[in-house]
Amino acid sequence: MKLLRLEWLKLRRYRFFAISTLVMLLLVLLLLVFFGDINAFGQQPAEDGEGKQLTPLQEDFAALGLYQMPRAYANLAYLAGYFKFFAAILVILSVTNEFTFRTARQNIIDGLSRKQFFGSKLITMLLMALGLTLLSGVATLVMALGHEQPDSASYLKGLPVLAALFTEYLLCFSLAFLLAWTLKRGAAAILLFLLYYFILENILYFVLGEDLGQFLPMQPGRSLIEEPFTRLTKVDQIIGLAHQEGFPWKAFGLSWAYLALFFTAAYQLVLRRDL
Amino acid sequence: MSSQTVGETNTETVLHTAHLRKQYGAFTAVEDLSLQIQKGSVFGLLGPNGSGKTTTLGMVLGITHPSSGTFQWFQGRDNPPLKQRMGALLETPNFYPYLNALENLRLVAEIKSLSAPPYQEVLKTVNLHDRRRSPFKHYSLGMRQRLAIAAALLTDPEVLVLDEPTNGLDPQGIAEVRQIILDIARRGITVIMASHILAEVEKICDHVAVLRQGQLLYQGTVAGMVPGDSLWELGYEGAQELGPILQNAPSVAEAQPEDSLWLVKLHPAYDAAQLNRYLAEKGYYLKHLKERRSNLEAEFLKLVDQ
Repeated sequence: MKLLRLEWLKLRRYRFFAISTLVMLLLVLLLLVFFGDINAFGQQPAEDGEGKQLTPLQEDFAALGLYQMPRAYANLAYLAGYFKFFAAILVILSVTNEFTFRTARQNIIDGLSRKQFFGSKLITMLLMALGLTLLSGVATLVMALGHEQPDSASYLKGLPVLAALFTEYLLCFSLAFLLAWTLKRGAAAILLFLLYYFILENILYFVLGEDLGQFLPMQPGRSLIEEPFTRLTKVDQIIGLAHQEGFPWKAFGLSWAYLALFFTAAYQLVLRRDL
Repeated sequence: MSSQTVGETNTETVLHTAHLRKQYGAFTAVEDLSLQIQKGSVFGLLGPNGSGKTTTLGMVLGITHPSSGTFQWFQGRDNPPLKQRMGALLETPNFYPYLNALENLRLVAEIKSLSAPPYQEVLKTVNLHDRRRSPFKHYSLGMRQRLAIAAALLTDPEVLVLDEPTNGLDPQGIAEVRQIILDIARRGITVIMASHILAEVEKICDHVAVLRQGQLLYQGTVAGMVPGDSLWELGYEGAQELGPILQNAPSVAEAQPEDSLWLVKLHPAYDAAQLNRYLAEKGYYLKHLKERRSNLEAEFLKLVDQ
């Protein structure tokens, strides 16, 4: 509780934190609520050679079942997953600011143990992941209730996806977290994080091939929640894509293995290094 | 406070280090440092920049891991917890720039688990009460330094650790901070202060450890830094007449004229009063008798340049 209060005192007046949290929440809500209105097949109605409109290519995502339980959780979780980068930057800054302001050492001098100091940052990160997951869950519930649903049991059936979403957030944050502790500089950590996530790992994946590449640290995060659009638009049936049914245990397990590894590494770094 | 309790408290060791060493690769920042700091003293850690002062403070404050050696606060007594009995700052004042003085102090109090910290009181002590609601980033260096001292005073500490507390301040700021430190010391709080300014240590501290390139050159009282055989200036109407008398005085080890004065070095067993009485008995009444302390600055440089 003390650690939580401490973090709250530090963050509540931090303008970037307040603004970005607000913006993030708004964007998540807007996306989840209005994505259903977007035409799944682009703005222009597709036409065949003779100028006759092809149906059902004008349908929006809501009509295709974006908010239909039990898949609604997964569908919206996939969209909400994009906000992890935003939040990851906050995770990085919450750590690197302590080094930029040299308050890390002052906190220790004032009496915080290294363990407590690390713990306070870990809690902040966990709460951010939890908050975003809950937000996605609640938004899904509200939207699903607004659209007709087959039965109430399907509401529960989709819930495990939220555990996957939580894991996806955490996995992404854990890399950001480790980089922040290692580099101590906000700009450097953010840059390297984005560079690795979007470019370096893709190159590695390509070089290593799928068999080995799937074990790269950020890969399980990508397969925790299945991309829903091919299924929604029934493109999957056209190209004959197989779906993974059930909970993605393999990606889930791999994610938590990496989580444990990254957190342990960061913790050891805090314990051993001179501040 | 009775004199007896003063006597008792003076015997307690606040900080004891044994063979502390810090190695950065091939570079040794601090070498075999053994210090003993008594309760109630104002202890100066004196040395040029890069002599290992901050590294030493970092080690005893738990920021830097020693390569070898040990240290102990309050002879291992840890109740109440050490950090609640200590106020400390290292190098620059470190605070959250977007928080104001009060909010920053609240954070420190939270870390130290203080129930009713005297915010207003400490802010008044360091003359920041009027600016307590301005964000830290708008503070001048002097104000930052003073806020750091305020934070260190929040716990009503038994020991205060300061690192170059007047560094970068203008003359007025220096005077203010020095006065605050002296006031604190007068309350019986032990002060450990690193400084590269000899005059500052001389003005504020009673005990000193001199460091050079991580090596301890001297440890003891500030007065003891100066060799005991100081010179005495003697003035007499007819200066030349004094020469033969001084040659024969039993208390005089050496005497030589300088302008209209005589410079006398006494035998260790004698003091100036004895010399004065001897001369008076012989009918020579001095119009000037003054100790000329050998220049502290020169002694310091001598120590450091060896």
